[in-house]
Amino acid sequence: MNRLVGVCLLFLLAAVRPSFAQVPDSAELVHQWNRCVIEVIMEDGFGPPIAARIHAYANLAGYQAAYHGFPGYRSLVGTLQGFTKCPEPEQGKVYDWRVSMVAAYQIACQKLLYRITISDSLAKVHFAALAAVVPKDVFDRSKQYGIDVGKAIQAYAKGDGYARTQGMPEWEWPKCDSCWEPTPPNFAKPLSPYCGMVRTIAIKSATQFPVPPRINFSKERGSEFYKAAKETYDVVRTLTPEQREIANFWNDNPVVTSYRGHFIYNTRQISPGGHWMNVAMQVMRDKRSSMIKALEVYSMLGFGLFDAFTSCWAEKYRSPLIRPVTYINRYIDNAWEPLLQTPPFPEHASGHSTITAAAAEILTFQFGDVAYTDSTEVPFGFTVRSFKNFRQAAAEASISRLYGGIHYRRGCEAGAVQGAEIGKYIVATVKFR
Amino acid sequence: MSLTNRARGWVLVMFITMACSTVGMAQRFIRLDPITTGVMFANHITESDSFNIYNDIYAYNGGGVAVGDINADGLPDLFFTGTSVPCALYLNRGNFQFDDITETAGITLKGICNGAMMADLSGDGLVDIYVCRRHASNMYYVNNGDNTFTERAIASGIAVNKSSTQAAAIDIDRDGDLDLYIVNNGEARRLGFLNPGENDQLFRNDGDNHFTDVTALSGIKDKGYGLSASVGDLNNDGWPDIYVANDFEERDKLYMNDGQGLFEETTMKHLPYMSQFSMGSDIADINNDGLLDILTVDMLPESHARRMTQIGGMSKYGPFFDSAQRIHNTLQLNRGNDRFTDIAYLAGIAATDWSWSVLCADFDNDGLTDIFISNGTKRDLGDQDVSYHVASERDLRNDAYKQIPTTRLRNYYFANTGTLQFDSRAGAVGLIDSVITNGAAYADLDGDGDLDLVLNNTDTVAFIYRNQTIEDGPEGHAFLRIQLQGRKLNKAALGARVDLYAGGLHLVREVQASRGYLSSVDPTVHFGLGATRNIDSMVIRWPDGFVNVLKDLAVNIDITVVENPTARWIAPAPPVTIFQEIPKTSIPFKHRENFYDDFKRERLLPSKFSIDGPGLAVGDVNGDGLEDVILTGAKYSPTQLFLQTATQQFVRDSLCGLEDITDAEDVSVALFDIDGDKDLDVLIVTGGNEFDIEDEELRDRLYLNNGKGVFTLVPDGVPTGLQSGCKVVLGDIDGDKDLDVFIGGRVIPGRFPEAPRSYLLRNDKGKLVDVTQKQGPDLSTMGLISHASFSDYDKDGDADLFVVGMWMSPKLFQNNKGSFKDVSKAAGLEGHEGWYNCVASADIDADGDVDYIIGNLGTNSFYVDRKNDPIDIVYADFDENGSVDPIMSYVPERVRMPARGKQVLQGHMPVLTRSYPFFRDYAVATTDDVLSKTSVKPIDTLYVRSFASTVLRNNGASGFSFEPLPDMAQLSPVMAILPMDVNGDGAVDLVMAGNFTGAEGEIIGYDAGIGNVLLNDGAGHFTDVRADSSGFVVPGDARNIASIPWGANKTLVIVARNNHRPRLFVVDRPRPKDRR
Repeated sequence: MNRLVGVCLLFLLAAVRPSFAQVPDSAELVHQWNRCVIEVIMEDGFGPPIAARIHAYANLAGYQAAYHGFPGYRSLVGTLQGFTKCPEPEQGKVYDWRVSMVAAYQIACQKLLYRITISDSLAKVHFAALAAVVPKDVFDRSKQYGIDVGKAIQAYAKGDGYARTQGMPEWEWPKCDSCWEPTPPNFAKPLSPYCGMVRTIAIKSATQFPVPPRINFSKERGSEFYKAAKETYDVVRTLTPEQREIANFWNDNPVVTSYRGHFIYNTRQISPGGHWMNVAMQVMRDKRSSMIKALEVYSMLGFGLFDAFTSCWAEKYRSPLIRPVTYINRYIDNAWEPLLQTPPFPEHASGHSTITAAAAEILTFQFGDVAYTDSTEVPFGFTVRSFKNFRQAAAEASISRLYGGIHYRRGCEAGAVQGAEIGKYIVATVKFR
Repeated sequence: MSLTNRARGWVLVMFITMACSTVGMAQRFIRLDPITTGVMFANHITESDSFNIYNDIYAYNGGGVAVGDINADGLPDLFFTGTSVPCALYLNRGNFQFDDITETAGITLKGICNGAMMADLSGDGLVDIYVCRRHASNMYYVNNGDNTFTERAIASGIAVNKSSTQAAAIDIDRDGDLDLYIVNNGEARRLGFLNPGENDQLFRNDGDNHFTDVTALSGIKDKGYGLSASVGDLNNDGWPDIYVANDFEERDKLYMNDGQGLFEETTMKHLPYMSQFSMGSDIADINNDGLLDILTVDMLPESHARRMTQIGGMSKYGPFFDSAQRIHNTLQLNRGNDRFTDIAYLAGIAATDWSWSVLCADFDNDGLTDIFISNGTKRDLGDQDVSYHVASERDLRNDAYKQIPTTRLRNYYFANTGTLQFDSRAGAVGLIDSVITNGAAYADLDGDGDLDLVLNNTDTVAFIYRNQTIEDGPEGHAFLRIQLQGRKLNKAALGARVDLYAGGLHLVREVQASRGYLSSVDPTVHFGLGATRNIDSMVIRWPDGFVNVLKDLAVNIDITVVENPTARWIAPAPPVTIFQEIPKTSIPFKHRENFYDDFKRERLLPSKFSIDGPGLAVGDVNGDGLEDVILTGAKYSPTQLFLQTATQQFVRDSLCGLEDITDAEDVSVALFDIDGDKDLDVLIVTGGNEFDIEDEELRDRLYLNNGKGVFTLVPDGVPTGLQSGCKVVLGDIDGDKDLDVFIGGRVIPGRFPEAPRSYLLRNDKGKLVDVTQKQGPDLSTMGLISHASFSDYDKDGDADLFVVGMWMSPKLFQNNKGSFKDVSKAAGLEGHEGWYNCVASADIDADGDVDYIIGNLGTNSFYVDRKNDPIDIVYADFDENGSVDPIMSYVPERVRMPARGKQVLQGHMPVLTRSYPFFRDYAVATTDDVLSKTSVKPIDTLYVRSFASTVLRNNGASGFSFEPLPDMAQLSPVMAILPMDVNGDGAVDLVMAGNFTGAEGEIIGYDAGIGNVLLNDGAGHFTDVRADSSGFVVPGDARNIASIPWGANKTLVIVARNNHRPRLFVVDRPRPKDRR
């Protein structure tokens, strides 16, 4: 069909082929679905908040379609915001929960992703393998149940107000000295300005955990704000090789646009949320976690990312703060460029810091303080980095935005505070067992 | 088996036969075999991992052709520049035989060579060669006279090393020697940071084969990525002017020579807008009016699929969006008054894909200037799918350039039809090769009287097309060839102008070397003369300012004219104009439109609805016998009254009571005596698109006059609710001698194209009563109304109503005792859906009934095609997210396709990304395909089938006939029409103005016009008065026009313009009765 799908399928099939005749390890099915979602999000070019929403709903579908097979696990109906109903399997009938799960992932993805030929192809591969080992009546019944769950998740997702945010007028940014404005080199329109209005999934509302305030704006030399911008400026000018590596490692900007004459091209990278989903995948593959564990971890992590982004975005567009590049070019050095391309939305607070802190809380809850090696960025040309535990990684991700020249230190710290609160709340309230 | 083979054989034979007969009939160019010509030069651009489009943004810009007679044997010789191959020099041996003498001539050039020019810079009578190079110093080869050359760029002071693209030889100071303009380019380019190209340079010839850089003094300030410069006397003052075509965001520059060899950059005083990615350019008279026009070429593809895949990413929200730059070719028609109007769409030459060279010449010797345009790039740099998927700069594999696809298209040839509309005929004239052509030049290589073409191709051998015009029979294709000989150092007389007169024919040529792109042509003057047998006279204006006149010349001959200075050329006196402009400040009003971007709310909107004002009304408000003027204000600005004084001044009366409300967008105003107290009261209609439907700012307002010009607001005086309205019109619908009111609904803010409500308001002794449902229910929701006219079309003594709007047919409502009945169908108005902006009524053929003139979009825009295919909008909330989704379609190639690009459509309806992830898929999707992706049924479909501004002739019982106004009146939307006899012959002429800058991001504006005066022959047939004779010049967004008496026998015409001051003109005719 097309080159892209070809490449992607090749990648997925390569993982599947050795045991094509057999069913892949059950947990591996879950990992492959999450890998697929990460890849398609990159191809589709979804912004980070929308990507997090996709991770959350896709894995919720997988979990809801499969948890019945695992004693002690329970439905999340009633636990999540506005999640009031989800189909139950028929009593006394035999199901293969892998089949249900694959069907639920596929159906949910059809309304979440754009390039669904890729996710449909993965479902086809999985179904073919499972059909060979599952009796036909069980297979059909399980698949139908998965489809029903997938549709229920579609309906649940549709109710969160996301579609309406896509039909709203473009956001008019206010004009003032402290206000955010589009940043070089692309001066792109503000990204997903209404994503803070979408219903949260696990926390009560986007403002449940307030963000520590920004530094009071001033353009006066010597003011606290000036000093904060100057710090970003100085840090970028005197980066150590390791700081540079850290900044690039955690860049996670899904789309970086570059120009060569008439030729315009986009760099694709994993999104911040995708980065953490991938960390979870690496850890679970190492630990050989079970299928239900994988579903639980991906789901909870997805909820954390989704709610953290929603909360962070609500604040970003409530108090649209000027980016360092704009401030520094205007008041300190008009030729300065940050190390990383400034993403197109207001500064306060750092989205990466917020979602990273939430993710670290959730992964620590799930796995404890484990050391791990993160190779997420290898396909993008960076090295692996090793961490003592998730919280250390989160701290590094947070400060990386200062090294990259795209945030003030306060923005990084404030985001980390809010994210950790969100993560802790989810760990305490969203019970899978 | 045998049967099949035989059948196949027959098909083949038939095909060949047909092909031959077609070729024999129409072909004018035959491509010569390089084996027989000996011209084996081929500009192979050899890519490598270190040389490709990622490393050098101009890697694929190709080479040029320079033509000149280096050995003075009368046969033009050829020089080609190469990107990855050495340049080559070919000596013309006659009969299309060439010898490669590059080596023996001493021209060894490696590295990237750009433009080449053959011209006698040294002034010794021998043609020299100047070569511009990328990343290296330019070379200046001085002709030794024995087919060898000596390089002396450094010694001559012109060893420029600024990645120059082309040079132009031009005697800027008319001192008799050739000076040198050099177009410089730049290195790598990054958007978003200060990033200029290299400044162009001007070198003055010191007369001893040495040049001095005079850029700093000259007024030349061009930091752009220049790709060509064309020279010509654009304002006919005897001094050469320069047009520089710049790539990217730097605007093109028009430098007018100040008459002392210095230049002033005044581009925007002359042009409405320009090409954005300007590449080649040429200057020539394309409509034989004796004025030089300017052509530039850009990169807009002709085919829908390529437009969607190559341009899909362009957006007005780019960081350096500039409304003065448009992505299409331009043909800037010289209006004779230092203003140019781009007519590229009307001419049919706007979209020729990624174009390089444009050459204007009479290739078929019919006396009309034709146009050749070359195109193609080694790889499709605009391919949006590639752009979207290419990995990062850091991750770019060194050979990633190989992934960019390659397309080869035909070059373009446009035959001049004698109208302003050109005929695209590349295939028919034999330019059938699909090839990447960069530079090109014309020359009569065999001296037979027609112009042959030489093309420098990327990766293919250079083409020589022999012109067969003379060989096909010179009858009807007469020619004249002239060799000019200057008396000073500029012996080839570059810059000389020849005006040829034969019967009614007036042809102009200027002798210039550099033309098109990276190339220079033979300086021999060539005239095609069609059926002309005798030339009455020829005026040669030499570049040093002297003039020679020749009379009674034969055709089909070669002549040589030696400069024999007898008299200095004197510029002709400007014509006496019909209108005299008086200072804009005579009415001290400037309309200030508030900035509102309609497209942020309605991304698929085809045009703004928020720039409709100012409204304009005239009348004596204070009873002093002098007519006063009201101009309405946009949001945040007051509507203002200007009182006329006894000394023909206008004074603002800020205490008149109209200035209190400034939050509304006042778009229209009427002055009439509503309450029968013998003074003029005021009705103001509010509109705009920046409000929501229930906003109080949309309330129309009525003010009563106290007899002295002081107005009092009548609360709820206009029962039209909260609506965005259009121009108000008045008429006595019930014969009670007072004026009643019609206010059309313009748009529902934010809900285009849903039909808003219109209102018929009856004047009941000073109180306006909504009688729409009772007396004119059909008027209620007709569509998006622009304007209307109360007039008695059926001569039964009452006021009928004629209504025009956008995306709808004109509508006519017959007044029957105060009730209005839709008679549009019987009147023949159905099926004429247009983009109508205004209507005026007048008896244009003096037959005693009312005819109409309706202002439309005009035919000089992207969506207008020659096949009269409609455009349409189908709408519903297709993605069920609460917003209206108007999907606009056009018919580019027989099938209805979505008009807007993938990114705009998916920006408004993101779910469609699921259906069309790739540009290449969207590029072939029909509108029906797109609609099939949604389960929501369309609510309605609206059409535009007519684009021309038109006369509607009233034929009585048989209805109206549509008679489009001439092409010169179709250059931009007509927004206001004043019928009045401007020349005193008793027939109603038309004074019109328009333009509209609020188009969507890909079109940007319909704003090429400067207004028109059309003279009526008495029978309702109109001809345009050239702008330098009419004196009526209205650039910018005109909205309303009105006239008032000006002294005893003159009339003041006022044109209100959006976001500008009004323009004011006095005409030496009395003001027509009942004309406001």
